[in-house]
Amino acid sequence: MSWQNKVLFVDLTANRCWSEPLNQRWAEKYVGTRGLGTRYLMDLIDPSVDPMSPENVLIFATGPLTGTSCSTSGRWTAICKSPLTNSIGSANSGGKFGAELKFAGYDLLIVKGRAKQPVYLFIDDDNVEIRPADMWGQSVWEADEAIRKEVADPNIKIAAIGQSGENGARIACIVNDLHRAAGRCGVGAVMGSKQLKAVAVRGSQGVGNVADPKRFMQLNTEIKAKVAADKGRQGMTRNGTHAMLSSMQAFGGLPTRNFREVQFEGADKIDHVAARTATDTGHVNLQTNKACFGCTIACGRIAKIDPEHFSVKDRPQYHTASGGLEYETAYAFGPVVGVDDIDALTFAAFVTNEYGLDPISFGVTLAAAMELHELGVLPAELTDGIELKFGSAEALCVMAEKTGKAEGFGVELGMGAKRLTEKYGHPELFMGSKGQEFAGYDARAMQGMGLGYATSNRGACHLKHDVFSQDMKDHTSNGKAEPCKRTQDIISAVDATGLCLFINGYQSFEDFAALMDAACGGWDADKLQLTGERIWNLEKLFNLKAGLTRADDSLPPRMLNDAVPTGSAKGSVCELDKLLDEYYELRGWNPDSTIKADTLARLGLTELA
Amino acid sequence: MITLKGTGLLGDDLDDQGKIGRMAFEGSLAGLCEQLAIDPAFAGYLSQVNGEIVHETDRAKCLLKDGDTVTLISPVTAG
Repeated sequence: MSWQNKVLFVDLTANRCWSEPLNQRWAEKYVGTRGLGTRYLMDLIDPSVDPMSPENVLIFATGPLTGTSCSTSGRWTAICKSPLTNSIGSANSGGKFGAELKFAGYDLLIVKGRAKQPVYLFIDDDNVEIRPADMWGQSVWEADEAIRKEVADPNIKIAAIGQSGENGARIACIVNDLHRAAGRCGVGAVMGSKQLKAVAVRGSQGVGNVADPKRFMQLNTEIKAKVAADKGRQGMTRNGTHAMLSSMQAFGGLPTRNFREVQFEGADKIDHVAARTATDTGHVNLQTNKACFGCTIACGRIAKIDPEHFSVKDRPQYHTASGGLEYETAYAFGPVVGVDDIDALTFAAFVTNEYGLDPISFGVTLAAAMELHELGVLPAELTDGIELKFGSAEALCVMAEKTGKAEGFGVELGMGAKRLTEKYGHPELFMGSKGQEFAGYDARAMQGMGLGYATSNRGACHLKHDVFSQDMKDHTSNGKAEPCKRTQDIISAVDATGLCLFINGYQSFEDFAALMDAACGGWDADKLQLTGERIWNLEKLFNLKAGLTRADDSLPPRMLNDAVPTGSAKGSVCELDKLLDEYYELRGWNPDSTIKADTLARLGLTELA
Repeated sequence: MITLKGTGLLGDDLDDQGKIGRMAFEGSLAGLCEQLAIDPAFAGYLSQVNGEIVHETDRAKCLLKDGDTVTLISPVTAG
């Protein structure tokens, strides 16, 4: 077993910390991260609770392979009830924080209650302290620096929120290691509601209880060699996910101007080639790549903004290198808001890290605001004097900062696109599902993606299923339900191990199972896939108890009624109802999306229903 | 002469192999991929000829002519 067998509890209301043995039965059944975390959440809260109340619980969860010598073993997940979707909230991140939490001896950190004044948590192996957060009101980057000075440790690993999370922005995230983020579902707002500014962790214990160390090391050597030789992996290291932009542009699935279009005329100004090409002044955006803990892919991008760019001129704090454009940030600050200025996109990426905002949700919310502006609903006098025009790099940069700092119209953007469009009388302009904004793939051009968005337990998400290859081969809805369901189960299991989804393309599911078997004992691919199915249904059970129904497995009318104007799927709409019927049948669910009794029994979930 | 371009994750790989650029070619899109030893998995599931999508199954009947621009679309993974 490579679990640490210990859970750290923190009750901020009672100002008390203690540890308990890990529930080993649950660990075997739900593995780790979103699986194990959701099981604890089900035990600790009523799913109908107000997500911003002290009764909600915030869990920082690792997996059994987190912190081990596997490639991509730096993953951890924040779990809570989401204030953005009112469903299960689950946000996965990389960096080094997760491995360090494991090294401190904990599989999970569970935070309950609400502090009387702002605090941060200092964890140094068994020494755990709730400390006053004098850095409340500061950005993630400022707080990170302040904590490092206070604890006199430049290498301590920190996960923090910015002003957006402090002020309850429902698209706020938790940023760790300065520019890795548990980005989705508004987990940063929940952390802020608890008056918890940061978690700083130092661990010295390693992960030393692998079941079969010799086989584990041998497997790692073999799998890493395979990953190293993979052409796709080599492309990912060189170009990062940013390279998806040119493929999606050519395919015709790149959401543009709030999903009205699927191809963007400025794509070649903001793609991965543009990022590494010198401008007329000699500036190059992309500086290098960066890996998370233990990763042999290193897809992270490190970029610099041209110091003469309007967004950073006379602001030297932004003249250094920091987290650059990946596909989702490039999409969310580029095509969906119509901006083709790569330095403006990079500035927005810096700022969303600095202030702790989910870039996807921010970009899509700004796109909705821009469409409202076009309709005359949001004139400049309502948006702090800024004309929110599609294509305005100034609007992007100014509103990213305002939303991050929770200032002016940024407070409204911080509520997310669903609440913004409802407030201004046009809910049909919200591009998302269950209250969470879409990622950078159009649900009409990619119907498997549409089904994945609609059925994702945490709200619209591109990372919980993998129907990309089927979608690119065939733009119809035919045959998409089965791979959507199957890959949801597989990815649930992959996530739960504590490894990164991105290595899923270069090592097989059998490799994951072999690593689990060597690390924990008693695992094979069938058991792991069944565990993934159990986790998916566990999250679904949480949502059913929270009051969600089939009506929440929905897509906006634009995806269902307005045909794709160009590209390989020209003329298509998403046939969601047909897909949902087929999907529910495959899942063993009823047509109303409740889970059949025999499905619950097969998965060992009857006691939770 | 035709012009060959590549997109996405694997576009660089084709470039590194000297398979991107202008070249003399007569025949079908399938024949082009075969002549250049472009693995269908690398070339993606779709190609474009002069901006129009050509699915993998239609490559054999897509005849290229002088001045055409062929774009090979890399497969997309989560990102």
